[in-house]
Amino acid sequence: MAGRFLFLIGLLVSSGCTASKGRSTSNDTLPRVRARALQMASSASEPSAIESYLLYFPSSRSAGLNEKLIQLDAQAALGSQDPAVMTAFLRLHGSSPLAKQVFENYISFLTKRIHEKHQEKDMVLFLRICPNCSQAASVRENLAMIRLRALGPSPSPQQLSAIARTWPGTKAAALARQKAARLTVDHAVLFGGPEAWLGSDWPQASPEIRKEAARLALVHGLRTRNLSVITNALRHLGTSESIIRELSKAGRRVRLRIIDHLTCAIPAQPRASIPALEVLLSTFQDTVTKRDALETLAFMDDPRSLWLIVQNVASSDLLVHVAAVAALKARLKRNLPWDIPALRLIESRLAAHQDIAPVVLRLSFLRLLSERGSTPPLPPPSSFTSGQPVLRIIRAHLLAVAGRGTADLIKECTQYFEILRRNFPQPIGRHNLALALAQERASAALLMLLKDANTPAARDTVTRIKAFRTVIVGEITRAMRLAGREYTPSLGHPVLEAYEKASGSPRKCPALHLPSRYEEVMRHVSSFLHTN
Amino acid sequence: MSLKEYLLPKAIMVGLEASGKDEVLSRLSDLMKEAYPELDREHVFSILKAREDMASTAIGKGIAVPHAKTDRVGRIYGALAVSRDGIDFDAPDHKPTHVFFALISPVNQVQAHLKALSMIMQLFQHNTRLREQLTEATSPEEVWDILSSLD
Repeated sequence: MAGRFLFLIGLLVSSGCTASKGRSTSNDTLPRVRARALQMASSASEPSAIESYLLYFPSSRSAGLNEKLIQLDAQAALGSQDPAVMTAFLRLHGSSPLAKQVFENYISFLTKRIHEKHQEKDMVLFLRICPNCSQAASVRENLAMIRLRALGPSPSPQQLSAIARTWPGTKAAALARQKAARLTVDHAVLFGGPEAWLGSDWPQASPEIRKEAARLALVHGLRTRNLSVITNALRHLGTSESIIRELSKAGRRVRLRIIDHLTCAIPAQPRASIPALEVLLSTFQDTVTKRDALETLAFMDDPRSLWLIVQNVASSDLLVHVAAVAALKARLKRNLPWDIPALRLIESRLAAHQDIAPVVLRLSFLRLLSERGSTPPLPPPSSFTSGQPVLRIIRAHLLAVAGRGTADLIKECTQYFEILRRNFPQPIGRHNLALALAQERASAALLMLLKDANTPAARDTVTRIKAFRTVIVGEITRAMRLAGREYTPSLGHPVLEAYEKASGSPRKCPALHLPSRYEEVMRHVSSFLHTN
Repeated sequence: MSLKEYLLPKAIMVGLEASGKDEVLSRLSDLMKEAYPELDREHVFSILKAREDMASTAIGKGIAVPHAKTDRVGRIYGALAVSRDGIDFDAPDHKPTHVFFALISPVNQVQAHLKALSMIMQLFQHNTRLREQLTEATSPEEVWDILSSLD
């Protein structure tokens, strides 16, 4: 505007007119003014001077001036970093030959700025001026994603649907649709009541919503004392923070009530109750709750409950440990068919952890006890085909017997000795030397166990074992010499001697009646047998 | 699945007026009994109320879906009642509820029940004007036409 004003003043002054005169100029004066104006405009380097001429003398438009104006504007637009200038040029001179150049420059400028600054306004501008450009698709994608993110972490389904409608074909639209669908399902899950809260076939619901739904179910279950709902809720909740919160709020009395409920429900729905107990065991440091839960688990009939008990055998809390061991014993007394494979699995898993090796030992022992069942099965003669199985069987029997009383021990040892005697290989040769050696070790172990059993029956068995050993040690020694090797009988072995020293003098069979020392027996016997 | 699978024109009511939750449920139970004579009105009311007592089935934005399951029915039954002024139904957004979509499902059709619930939710979420359209309807036939146009 200032340029135009100055042009007008300059024009009037230089042509000898004032502004008022200008209005009343005669027909002679006007061509002179126009000529002067044209001259000024032609030499002007400011677009405004040319614009002014064209504005004031529209009827005498000069093609040359128009072009000059466009060129000057184009120079300004091309040299400018301001989208407004470029936009203005395109608006004013959109049909000129320079428009394409300015447009391309504009697009290039915008593209660069979008890449550098990622500003939403640039993207909007880009899409407005060039919706069909090759870069438009990626700009749309970016802008749609920005709009989606701008909705924040908790958009409503309506907002998401709006994104999907506004930006069809973009990834943001697909994401928005997906999220909206999920929110809808979430809504249904949350407001659907216990069935929906605990619906297992509800894959679209988000994990958070499922947890929240399960929490609602738990609260409802606790309120209504609905065991099935409590149990299902606990299964869904696992050990999440929310269950700890809910059950902590509920207090120990309620937790015990849950255990009571679960205990009562075992006959009707044993499997459903286990997850709940699992949660109680894993969630709380409350020793008494754990003890109660372990007691309940002892009366459940599936491997999972056994595994839960076993996990707690390793507890550093003495009361929990004792409760778990008691539960394990109670459990094993029931001779459940699936407990043995489960215990084997447990053994193999726990064996990898050095820090709980004692637990493995205990488990081995208990598994062996369990394997025996109520009537000790003696190993069939067919078992005596190689040395190693015999050792295992012997170990199993010795340990099993150790859990009983002296009378049982003597009876078992005697029976076992009879099996050894009957199956001792004669004559001993290269093919059966290992078996003979194993039996010699077994007889040594039997002697060790019976050493302090001071009854006539025990003394009789000990005498017979010693006589048997005299024969077999002689036979083995002879066979070994034939093979060019020296032989030291087991009872003279350093490991056994060390054990004997550790057990005190005279040799004493450790704690036949004290379960807490079973594993000590086992460790020594096992060590002895394996070392030999 | 379509709404028409478990909703009859006879089970639609406009101009619902009630002073509170129980009355809404009572009216819905009446509506169901009228539309589906095989249903036991008292039983329908009691199970809807029991469910409602657990937690409100209002989902906000003027919509509620009172629902319950029972072993006394063999399929899903639906009823729709619309209140122009809105009724307090313990909605999470604390706003009056205008549209009440009741569902009664068989106990052994949990998945179908949940899918029906989900469908209703989606219907209202994807049609933001639907609630207003239903509220402005002056007859059950008009409501039926609106719902039919959505299929």
